[in-house]
Amino acid sequence: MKTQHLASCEGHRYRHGAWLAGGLATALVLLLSVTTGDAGAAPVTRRSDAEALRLLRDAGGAVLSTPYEGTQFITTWSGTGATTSLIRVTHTPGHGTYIEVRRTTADSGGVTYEPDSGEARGGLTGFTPEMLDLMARNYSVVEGGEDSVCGRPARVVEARRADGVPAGRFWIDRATGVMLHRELLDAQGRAVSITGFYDIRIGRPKPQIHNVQTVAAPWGHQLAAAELGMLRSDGWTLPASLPGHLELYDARQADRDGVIHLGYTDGLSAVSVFIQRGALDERRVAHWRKTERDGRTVYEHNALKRWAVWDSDEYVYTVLADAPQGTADAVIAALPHGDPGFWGRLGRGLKRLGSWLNPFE
Amino acid sequence: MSHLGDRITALVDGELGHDERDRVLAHLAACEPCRAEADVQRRLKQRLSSLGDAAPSPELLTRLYAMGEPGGPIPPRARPMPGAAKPPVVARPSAHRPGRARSTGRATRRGLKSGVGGHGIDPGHGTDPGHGIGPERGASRAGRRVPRMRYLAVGAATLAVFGIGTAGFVAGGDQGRLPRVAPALDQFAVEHALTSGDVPVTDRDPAEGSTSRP
Repeated sequence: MKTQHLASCEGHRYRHGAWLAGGLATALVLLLSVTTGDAGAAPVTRRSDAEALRLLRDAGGAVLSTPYEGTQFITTWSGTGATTSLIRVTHTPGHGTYIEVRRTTADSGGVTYEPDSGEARGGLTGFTPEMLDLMARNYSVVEGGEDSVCGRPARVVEARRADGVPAGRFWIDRATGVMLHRELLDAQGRAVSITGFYDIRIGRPKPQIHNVQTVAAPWGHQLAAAELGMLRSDGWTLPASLPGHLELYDARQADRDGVIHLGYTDGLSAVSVFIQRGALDERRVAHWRKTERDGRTVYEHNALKRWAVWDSDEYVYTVLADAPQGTADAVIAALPHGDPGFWGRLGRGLKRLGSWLNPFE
Repeated sequence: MSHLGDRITALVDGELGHDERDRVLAHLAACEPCRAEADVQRRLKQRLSSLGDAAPSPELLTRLYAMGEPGGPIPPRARPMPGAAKPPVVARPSAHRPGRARSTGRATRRGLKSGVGGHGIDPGHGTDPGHGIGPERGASRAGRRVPRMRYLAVGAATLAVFGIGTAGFVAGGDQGRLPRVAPALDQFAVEHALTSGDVPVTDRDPAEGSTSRP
């Protein structure tokens, strides 16, 4: 009798433990889904429309093979309002694109030249071929009907989340295939950023004389997987993925100062993480909004992009996000903050002592 | 009539020659006080002789000797193979302290002799510490020496770990020597745009009023 009673008590205890564990797991899942916001919303694999994917893929090539000139606008919304930049774009196939930034609230103006012969990029479409592959994996890319932009007939393509809410929309010129307008939307379907033509003329642009200050090109030293592994073993934090199904698709290093640039995307949002050794000189960002994470100050600034800068454990991190605010916040939280702690400092010191004693290092 | 005096002690100790002993014995036959004194000394000697069994045990003496001697080599740890006979425990050989053993034996004898006429204890009866150590005694001494070495080893290891840890902690915290860097925000903005298919524009910095071109 006593044994049965004890067994019954044990059974109750185990059942209570199971309920407790289940409740905690549920609460944890709910907490993660609430705190990550947009970051946890994207599915892994979606069924896409092949014609819609073809339209997007061809848009990258059309923008290089089509002569055009026009005015583009870029608007980004944040908690403090909208920021807009106006750009005069002139493209001559086989040569390149002049990008003249008009003086606005977001930019003081200037001209950049992007040659067609340079490293293949998205051609102002907002995505690269690698990003398009990830877009097809994380979203349902489907045709969204017909519309018009600047008086030109356009085909609409949508990238939808698992719940059917659009995460991105693209307007593609029916005649030339050039991207005319694109939008990035948050989980509630609100516009996060818009890039589109305010006016456009298809045809060879008039000859213009620009005082070009810079020939834009990305950093030439692309980091291979082996190099990333070596840097990780040296103490660099270089995540292969970030919250919001953001995957590392591009890694480079500046030749001049060794800054590492990691590019992440889910196909629509694009996040860059720049990492450099040192302690942050706050003077440049001292007027930015300050937040605290793990006792360290993070300097944040929302304009055309969402910026965050901080230092942690001998490294300075700069996050630049074309993404919903929730995704940007989750990315910032996922990267290192604060001091390494006793064991971290001890481990780093022992590694350093070992390297001093190792004549081959 | 004069009495025998110290010769009674010599008689009892058997130190008198043949003629002298006869003379003393003749005197004792006629002298009641000397006979009584000789009886007292004989009984005392017999009593002391019987106390010879109560001498300090060899273990006690050996332990006392060990307190003041320098340490010897650590005996090898006995690790018999399974099923093998138990190896004998190596005891400290007596040749290590010959002088001490002899002097101790002499001192013992001298002390007894000065008190009772030198006839109490057999000189060879357990006074040599080397001969007095049994197997249990040797094992106990070896067992005491091994923990002492263990303490030394553990202490040395602790010091080494503490020293390396301290050096590592100090070497790992050189934040003060880090270069102070200001991120090249304009350059980063263009780099981000060029690798993500976006328009390469820079953000206006709210505090600077203007933004430099890439």
